[in-house]
Amino acid sequence: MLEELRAVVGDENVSDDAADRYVYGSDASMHQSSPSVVVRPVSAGEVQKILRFANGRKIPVVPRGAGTGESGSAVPIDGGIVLDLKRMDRILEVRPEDMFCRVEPGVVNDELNRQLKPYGFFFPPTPASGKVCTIGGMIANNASGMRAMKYGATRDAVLGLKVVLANGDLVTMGSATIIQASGYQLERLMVGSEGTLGVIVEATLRVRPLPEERTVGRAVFYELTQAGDAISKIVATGIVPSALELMDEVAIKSVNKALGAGLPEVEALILFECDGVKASFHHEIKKIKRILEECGAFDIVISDDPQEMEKLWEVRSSVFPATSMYKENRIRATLAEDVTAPVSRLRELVEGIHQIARDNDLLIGTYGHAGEGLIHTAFLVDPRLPDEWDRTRKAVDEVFALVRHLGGTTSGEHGIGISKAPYFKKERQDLLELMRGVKKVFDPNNILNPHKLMDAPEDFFTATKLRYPIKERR
Amino acid sequence: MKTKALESWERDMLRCIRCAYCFVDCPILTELGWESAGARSKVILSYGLKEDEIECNQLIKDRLFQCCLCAQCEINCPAKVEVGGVVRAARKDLVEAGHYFEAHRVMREMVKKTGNVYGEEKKDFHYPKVGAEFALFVGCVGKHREEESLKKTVALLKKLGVSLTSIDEVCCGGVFGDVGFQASPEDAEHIKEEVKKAKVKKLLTTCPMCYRTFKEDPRFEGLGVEVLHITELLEKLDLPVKTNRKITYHDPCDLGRHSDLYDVPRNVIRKFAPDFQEMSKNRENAHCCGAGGGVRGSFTRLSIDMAKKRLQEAIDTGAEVLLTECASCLHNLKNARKRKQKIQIYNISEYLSLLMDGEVG
Repeated sequence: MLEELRAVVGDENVSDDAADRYVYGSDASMHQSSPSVVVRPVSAGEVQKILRFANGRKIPVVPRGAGTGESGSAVPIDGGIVLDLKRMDRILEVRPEDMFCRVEPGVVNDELNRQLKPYGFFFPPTPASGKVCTIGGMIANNASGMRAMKYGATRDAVLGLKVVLANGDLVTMGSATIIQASGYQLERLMVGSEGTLGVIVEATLRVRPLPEERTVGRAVFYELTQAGDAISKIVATGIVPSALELMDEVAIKSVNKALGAGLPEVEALILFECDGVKASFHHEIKKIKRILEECGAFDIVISDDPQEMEKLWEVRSSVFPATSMYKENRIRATLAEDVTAPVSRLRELVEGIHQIARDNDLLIGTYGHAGEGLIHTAFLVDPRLPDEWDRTRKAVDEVFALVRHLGGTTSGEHGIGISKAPYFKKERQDLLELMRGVKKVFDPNNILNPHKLMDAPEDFFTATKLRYPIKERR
Repeated sequence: MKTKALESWERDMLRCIRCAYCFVDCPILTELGWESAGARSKVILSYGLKEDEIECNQLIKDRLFQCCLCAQCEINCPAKVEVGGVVRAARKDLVEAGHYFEAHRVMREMVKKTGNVYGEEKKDFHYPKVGAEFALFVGCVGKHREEESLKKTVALLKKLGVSLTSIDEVCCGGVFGDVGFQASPEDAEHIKEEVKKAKVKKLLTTCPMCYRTFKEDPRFEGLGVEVLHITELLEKLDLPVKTNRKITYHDPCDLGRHSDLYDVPRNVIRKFAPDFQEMSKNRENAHCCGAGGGVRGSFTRLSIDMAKKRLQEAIDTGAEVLLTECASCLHNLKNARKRKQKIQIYNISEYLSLLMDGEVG
């Protein structure tokens, strides 16, 4: 196998060394499973040749961006080939007059925005990992981030894709127009498909004009439930802020400890942002402020200082890793980490998660894109204690049961991968066979990221080796 | 493989959430491209060794030694994982198991024989003076690889009337902790004894690595004198020269990220060079020149490639002169310069000396 792959991408871009196999066997999830080989193609043509070869030999192929996924989507559960697509990082074209850009999958989100800025445009999805995550990974997992509330998720920005299918054929899906009604929207099917249907080698993305102005605000609450109510009320008035974020006490204390953020250490904090022309959103800011006050907020600070804004969002984007700093000997385990409910049920979601934490004697933080109904559930566990994992697994079950009860969904923006698959299957049980049928059409030999989504193992905890020292539980 | 040193870093390795924020501006990852070269992966590989999930091989050894210990990853890490500490511990365990780089072992031998990492004949800068305020400590790289620059620095100090004496220097040993070897306690004792004999109250270092070693290394507890980097002294002195040339500055990692001296060298430069232009990556986000962490000794080409990138960033500012204040950075950046590149590279103190002598504009 190595010889054939080397012939395609060159010796220096193929590795079956134990170092690379070990490193490429994990992402930001709890899972670990090594590939047989890592390959770094630089062009669609190379990807085609690799897939033709792999399909002929029925070797699994797992596409990978920066490996920032939290659910194990990029972990090669069956080994095989990991396709590291980070060398495909060219911005091919920016066409502001047509409101799109064309990029390769390895382009980093923030880098794309740096390149779009001189044109007066931006790519709206804003994942917290934007400084490192790649466009390919964002599409494969339908990433969104804090501005999805106003500008939509990645799926709403994908106009067209070039995709290499399992048999090596290169196909073009969608179009370079901002609307299209030409049959099945297969480019949308690719969004969130987690590398199971094809390898994205080029994306045509809708870009938006940079807002002329932005204003951010911060409001403090003594009670988390008050903040939950405030979020739902703001959304219900029809105001669409460009961000509406919630941080609970765990999240606040974590960033204070890790970054010296200096946030008030209360039970909850809401961050919000409005953008556009100040004259038009000034009225919205006033309304938001009134609702926040009605719901019990105090110490409401509003700023349009760019440095203040940048600092605030930097703090917000650091919460995920910073939660590992919250308490000595506890680390952040990425589980049930992007549960999403209708916004009107937000208070119940947050309250319910904290009740589950109490019931199971666990430490769980909550924060997230609350204006979209999304809550990041931060399980803070001592990974060495088997009993703690037992209670964690039970709590994860309960969190997902709560989400289903509230009419929500398993994943809002990170994808399913391995660790959310059992709950995704419950949520989508009437669609699993249909999805398997779709998979078979695209990938009859089941080589593309096999055993993920609807085909993932029933128990995420035993699906792969875990990255934590809990050997007795394997 | 036994991983005694890594055992105490388990907490950091587990705290790493593997978010990969440390990939941003990791100079080694930028050069090599493979994820296994990035900071996160060094933590993953170290953990794998500790848990006995992987066996050390050539690439694992290479990856763990392909790190300048520049600490950019630690600046980026919201979980505050001490990646440098993990890497140093991994290297210690690797060396203990016999997986060392010959260049590093030889350095250690050379220090034993000659007192400097190059194994070269001792070069002493004799300024014996009774009752001097400062004892000067110049370090191996300055003395043996950037001697001309160092001479200018010493000349500057004399011109500025700094009361100076020299001591019988041996390597401070800072580099050995970085590359998995144990630094010599005897050498530390020798330095302490020399400082005592000099009867000074302050130890003045030109090398940021020596500066940091004297301040942080437990071997130097009881040194009994204040340790100053030369930029800290220059900040306090009147500098009777000016230049109109456009100047930029490279932050040495040991001075900036490791010692938090960002403003001091800039304050010095602004005293004599009003036309100062920052590089796009500066202060805590300054790209490493590639010389640190033992990389120059074991992966010379990689080290120079990093220096070439950093030099280009300096050229992109439009500056005529690139200043730094570290013999290692100076040496690496000068080695990276191509003939057609006109930018001049000096240590701040060297440039000041040349200015005072009218040798540069």
